[in-house]
Amino acid sequence: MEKEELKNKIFEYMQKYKGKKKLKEKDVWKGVGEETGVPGDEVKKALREMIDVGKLMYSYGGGASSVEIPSEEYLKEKGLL
Amino acid sequence: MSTCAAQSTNKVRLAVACCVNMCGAVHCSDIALVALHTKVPPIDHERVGKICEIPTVISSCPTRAISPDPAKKSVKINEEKCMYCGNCFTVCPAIDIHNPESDGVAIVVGGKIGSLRSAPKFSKLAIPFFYNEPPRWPKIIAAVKNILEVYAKNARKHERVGEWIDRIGWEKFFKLTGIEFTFQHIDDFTFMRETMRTTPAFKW
Amino acid sequence: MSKKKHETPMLDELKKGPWPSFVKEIEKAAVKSETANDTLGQVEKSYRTRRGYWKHGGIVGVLGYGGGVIGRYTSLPEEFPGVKFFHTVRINQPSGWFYTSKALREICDIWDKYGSGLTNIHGSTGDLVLLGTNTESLEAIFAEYSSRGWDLGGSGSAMRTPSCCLGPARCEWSNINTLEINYQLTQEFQDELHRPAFPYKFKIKTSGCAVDCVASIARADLSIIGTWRGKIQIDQSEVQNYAKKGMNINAEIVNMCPTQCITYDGKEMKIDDAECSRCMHCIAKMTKALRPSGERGATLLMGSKAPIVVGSLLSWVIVPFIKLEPPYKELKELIRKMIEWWDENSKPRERIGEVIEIKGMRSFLEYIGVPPSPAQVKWPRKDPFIFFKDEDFEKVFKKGKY
Ligand code: HEM
Ligand code: HEM
Ligand code: SF4
Ligand code: SF4
Ligand code: SF4
Ligand code: SF4
Repeated sequence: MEKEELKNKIFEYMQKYKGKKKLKEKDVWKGVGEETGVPGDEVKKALREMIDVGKLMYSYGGGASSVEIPSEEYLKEKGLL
Repeated sequence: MSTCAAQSTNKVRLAVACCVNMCGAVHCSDIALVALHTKVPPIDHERVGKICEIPTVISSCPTRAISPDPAKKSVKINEEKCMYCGNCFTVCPAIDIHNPESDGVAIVVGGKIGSLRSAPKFSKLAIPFFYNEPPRWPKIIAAVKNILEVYAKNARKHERVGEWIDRIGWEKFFKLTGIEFTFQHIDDFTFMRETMRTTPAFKW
Repeated sequence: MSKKKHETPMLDELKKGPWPSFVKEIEKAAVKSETANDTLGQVEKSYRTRRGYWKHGGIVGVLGYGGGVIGRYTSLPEEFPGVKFFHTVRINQPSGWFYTSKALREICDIWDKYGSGLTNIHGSTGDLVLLGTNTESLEAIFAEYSSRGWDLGGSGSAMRTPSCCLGPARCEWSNINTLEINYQLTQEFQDELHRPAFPYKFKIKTSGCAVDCVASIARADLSIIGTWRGKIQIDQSEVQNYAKKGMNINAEIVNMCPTQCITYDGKEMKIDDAECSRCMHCIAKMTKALRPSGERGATLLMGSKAPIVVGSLLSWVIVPFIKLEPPYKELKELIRKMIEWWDENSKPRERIGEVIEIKGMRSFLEYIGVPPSPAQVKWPRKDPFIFFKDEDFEKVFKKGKY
């Protein structure tokens, strides 16, 4: 699978769970891996590239970290919107 | 404390923790103060519904004391299970555990980190509660000074506080320091088994 | 320049006396910083009302990183606007906390520019901790520090910045190169530090000997403690010097040896090394006379944590002895296996020690490939509820290996 396509899949996956379940990095590697058949390591790489440019972000609450789609407020703060 | 330190038989690590997290190995110090709450936090049901994520609040509680209260669209706390840790407040400001009248400080003693002579030890409860008396907490200072002086007078050379107490026995520690022994001193939370005395041989 | 905004009669009490005063320090910072100024006001209010007003949480951080910045706020932003935001920035400390004065000035200058000027050097996590800045400044702060070679520390469900005692740089008791081990582990686990993917926090602390100056045994998921396999070498003339200077060797050393393996007849000191448990007491008290020798390495212990959540734990022995030499391949691989097992078996917010308690030592040891050993326990199982796997009969009991 092309990397861009994979990134789109990851984003779709994140949208599906938005507001429903807090996803950890690992949940995404596993979940997207199962849906697409792409090895977890590749998903991990693509996911991290998305995080590095602010397409996704790390979040934190109640003592545990997770991955999320950034809010508009966050993107504005980072000068990405 | 410098005069006392000069007389003490080994180093005394005095540590202060501002909450039960006890950051920085406060829980293994010769004499330590730990700030604590003493009451089940009150719930502002109206605000919980508005500003808190109910599943997060429920899962924040280490003792599983919190359950949903669907009628109030809020949560309830099982008072038997709550040990006033304040984790729920961390994720939900509407369960405000702060209480100036009942928050206070406990003193724990006898902890140690190094393995010299005896294994590392946790600090254990000496005095369960002092009211907060800012800015100088005079009663706490007096109590620490008392423990330090009794230790300095009675311990053998190179004995840390915990080693001295292990040698003389906790019953003797309470006698020498004049500290009252209360229900709070008996561990009925998780570690009762290993803390009960299983011999009739102890000191009067 | 800002003038002192708040009357602080209670805090002023704590400026008295010869010892350092945190109030004086915050006042100095308050001359330049509104944030420090309002910190004073809020702390005074806390003293008056006997309750705290700090909140934490929120999503704060720098792009690409999942930790290193911790969101802090006042719950009284109208009364104390200067501390509306009071975020903590954790900076990855160098091994053993060695800095040149120039490096410290650089750190502080940047912090004066963007933050309250208040620091906590160092937090018990190990990091150099910078206290009090706002959300907008975070990227700029990170850019300035990272352009000078500094990086953020860990927070959240991730590895914490590993920390170590100053070891061989200053201390003759060190059995291992704590500084290099710590540096190598920090490099190896960069992703694990900055990209939170663990069930909860994971701390590694390394001490050069059983004195354990970084308290690794009380607050690290993995405690690496240097030790030796060999004799304690005795310099008899130095023993005599200690005696001459007034040390009561029988009372202070012989009788206090936990294994009673030392003898001293007034002339000669002897140690039965096979009985020594390497506690460090005699060496610490008679440094000039006694010195370990032979093979050096470390004991790996695991599981310690502070009281939150279900009670504090001390680390217990997992690997009785491991040699630690560059490039530390065995150690790094072992740590990866430990983390893998934890990740597979843990619920969110369980520390590895708690998971070992729940799932059992056997599951853990088998996964990481470490055999059972009496060094791991204080005493063996007492009740006859004993669990067997079929293979145990083939491998152990039919052979009668006992
Ligand atoms: C402005 C307010 C605060 C400041 C300046 C502050 C500062 C610190 C510092 C310096 C540490 C590191 C301690 C160390 O490693 O020695 C720490 C740790 C910690 N603080 Fe706070 N704190 C604040 C508020 C809070 C609040 C409101 C909470 C929770 C309700 C909190 C929870 C924690 C926890 C859980 C840790 C331990 C983190 C770990 O183990 O890595 N803090 N804080
Ligand atoms: C200039 C040289 C030295 C420096 C800079 C130094 C520094 C330190 C530091 C930073 C600690 C940790 C303190 C803590 O975190 O509580 C420590 C602890 C300690 N050091 Fe040193 N050290 C030096 C030399 C020595 C020497 C030569 C010895 C022994 C011969 C020694 C024995 C100890 C002991 C016994 C502890 C206390 C461990 C405990 O808290 O139980 N140090 N030292
Ligand atoms: S977590 Fe608790 S003990 Fe640790 S620094 Fe914060 S208030 Fe103090
Ligand atoms: S204070 Fe702690 S134990 Fe009590 S309900 Fe809140 S989280 Fe649970
Ligand atoms: S832990 Fe041991 S080697 Fe390290 S500084 Fe302390 S005494 Fe020295
Ligand atoms: S290191 Fe400890 S056990 Fe070994 S001889 Fe010295 S005092 Fe005894």
